[in-house]
Amino acid sequence: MKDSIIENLKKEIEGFKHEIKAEKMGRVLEVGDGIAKISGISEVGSQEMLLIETSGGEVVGIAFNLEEDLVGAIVLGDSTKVKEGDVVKPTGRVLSMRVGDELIGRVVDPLGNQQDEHGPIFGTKSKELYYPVERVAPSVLDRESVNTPLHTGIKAIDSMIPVGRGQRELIIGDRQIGKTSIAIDTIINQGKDTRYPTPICIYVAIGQKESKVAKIVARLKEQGAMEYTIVVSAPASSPASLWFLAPYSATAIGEYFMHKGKDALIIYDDLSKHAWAYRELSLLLRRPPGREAYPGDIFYVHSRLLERAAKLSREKGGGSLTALPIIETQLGDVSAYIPTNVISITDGQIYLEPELFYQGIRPAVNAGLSVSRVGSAAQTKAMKKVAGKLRLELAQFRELAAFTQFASELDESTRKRIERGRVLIEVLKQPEMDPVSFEKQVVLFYAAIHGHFDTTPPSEVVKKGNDLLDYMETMHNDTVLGVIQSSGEISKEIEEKLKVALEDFFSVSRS
Amino acid sequence: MKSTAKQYAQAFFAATEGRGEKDQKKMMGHFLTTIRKNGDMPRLHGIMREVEREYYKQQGAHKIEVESVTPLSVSTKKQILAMVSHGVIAKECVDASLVGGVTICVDDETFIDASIKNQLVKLFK
Repeated sequence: MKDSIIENLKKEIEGFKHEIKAEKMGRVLEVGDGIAKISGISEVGSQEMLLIETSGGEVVGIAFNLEEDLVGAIVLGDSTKVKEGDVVKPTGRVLSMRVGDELIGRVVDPLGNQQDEHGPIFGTKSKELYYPVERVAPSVLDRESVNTPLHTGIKAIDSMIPVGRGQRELIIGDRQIGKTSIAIDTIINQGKDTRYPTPICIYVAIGQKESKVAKIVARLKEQGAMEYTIVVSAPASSPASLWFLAPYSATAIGEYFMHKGKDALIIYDDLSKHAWAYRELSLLLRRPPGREAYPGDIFYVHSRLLERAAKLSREKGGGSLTALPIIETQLGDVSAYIPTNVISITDGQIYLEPELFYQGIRPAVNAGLSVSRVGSAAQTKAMKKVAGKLRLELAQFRELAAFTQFASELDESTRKRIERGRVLIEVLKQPEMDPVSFEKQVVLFYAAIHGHFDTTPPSEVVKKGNDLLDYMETMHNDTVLGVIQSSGEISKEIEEKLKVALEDFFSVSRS
Repeated sequence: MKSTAKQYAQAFFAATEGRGEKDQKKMMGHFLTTIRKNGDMPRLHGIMREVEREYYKQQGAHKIEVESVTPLSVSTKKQILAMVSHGVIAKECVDASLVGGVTICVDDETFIDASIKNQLVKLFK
C-alpha cells in the first residue's frame, strides 16, 4: 500500500511539467454591497468568472460591467472577505455548474454546494461534468412541437389549461393564493402519473424564507417526491447575486437531463424576486434605471432563461425541459411591467384570482383569463373528449352568473345551465396535496358533463365525486380506469362500460 | 459629477507639466487640497495609485513589483529588468512563504508566478 502511494507520487513528480506563464491580474479598487470594482484585467470578457484572492481564501466573482478603466463584478459568496487591493485573476471561462445524477434528491445552492445533511454530493469516482450556467437556447431546427402531456394532477388545469412537456406555462397571482401549492402538487403528481416517464423535477427557490423551503422539502419527502426532485435554493438571507444566479444554475441542471433524452420539469419560485435581485445588482453597478427602476435588459434576463425550456427533436435525443415560472402580482395587476414581460414570453398562463380564492374556489384558477397556447396537443384523447364541453359549459355559466340572483325569474334552460355550472365549479375544487390522476379526472368530468351530478346539491358534489372515484377504483379499475390510463382514450366499448358503471353508482346513491 | 481617479491623475500631470521641482511640490499640495475640497479623501489611495500609473505611462516605463524569499541580488535584478523592457523595479518584498523563486507583478496587470510555492500547489492539485 505504502509502496503504491510512493510509486504514484514518483510518477506525478516525474511527469510534472514546469511551466511559468504570465497571467493577467487586476486589483480590487472598491467593494461593497456585493459589488467589487476592479482595475486591470482589461481583456476580461462579459460574464467571465473571476477569482478574488482574499486572506480568507478564494472568492468567486462574475464580470458584469466592462467599463473603460474598471470592471464591475458581482461577488458570489461572502463579499465581506474581499478587501481593497486584493488580487483578482480572470479564469477565461464562464461560470459553470457541476451536474450529474447524484444531484437527484439533494438540496443545493446556486453554486452547486450542498445545503442538506446527506454528505458530499459527488463521490471521488463520480464523473466530472460541468454545464455552463449561461447557454444559448436550442435552435428552431433542434426542436419539435410539444406533443406529450405533463399532468399536474389538478383538475382545473389538466382539463382546461393543459401543459405539455417542453412548454413554458406561467403561474401568476397575488401573494398567498396557491401558486406554490400548484407547483408542489405538480411535482408530487409526476410520481403518480405512470402513463409517461417520470420527469426529473427541479424546484428553484428564489429569495424564499428558509422555513418555507424546509417545509416544501419535508412535504416532498413525505410524498416520496424527493426521489426524482432537486431543490436549488437561494434563500432570502443570501446575497442578491445568488438570487440572480439561481434560475440559471437550475436550468443548467435541467439541460443536463434534457440532453440525456429525459424529461425535466423546472419551477422558478418566483421570477418577481429574481427581477428585484437583478434590479438591485444593476443599480449598484450604476446601470441606467428604466421603467420602475428596472434596467433596460430586464426582458432579456427572463427571455433567455425561459427560451432554454424546449422539447428537443428525436435527432437531439427527444428530451424536454418544461418550465413553470411563477410571478407574484400586486392586487391582481397583471398589466404591470414584469408580469406583462413574462406573459409575452411564456406559452400561456394560469391566472389565480383572489375573488375566487375568498369564495372558497380552490385552486382559484380563472379559466376565462388562463390560457395554454399548446392546448389540446398536450392532452390525451380521453381528456380532449370531455374537456371541450367542460370549458364551454363553464364559459356559459360565467355569462349567466349575474342572473343567479334572480333564479325564480329564469327560464328552464338558463336555470339548468346555471345549476350545471355550479356543479362543475364544485367538481373542479380540489384540496392541496391531493393530485388526481388523469384517468380519474376523465371519469369525473364525463359524469359531470353528462348530467349525473345535476341532482346532487352543490355542497355534496365533492363528497359524491370522491365516492365515485373510490367506487371506480374498487369495482372497475381493470376494466375502465386501467384501460383509459394505458390507452389514453375512451373507445366506444369503454364508453359503454363507463356509462353502465356510472348508472349503477348514481342509481344506488339516489335510492 | 464625481471625477474618476484617472481624471485626477491626468489633471495633475497636465498641471505640473513644464514646471520646476519647487512648483511641482506646490502643485502636489494644491492637488491634495483639491481632493479634500471635493470630498474625495476616502478615494485618495485609489487616486494616488492612478497618479503612479500615469507617471510610469508618461515615462514610457513599466512598474515592477518583486516578491522573493531573500533580498534580490544585483544579477537577479538585471535578469528581471532584461525580461521587461523599460522596466523599473519599484517595490521589492521578502516573503518566506514562497519557499523559493520570485513573483513578478508588472503594471498591476501582469503577474508572473515563478515561486516554488506555486509549483508545489500545481503539483498536488
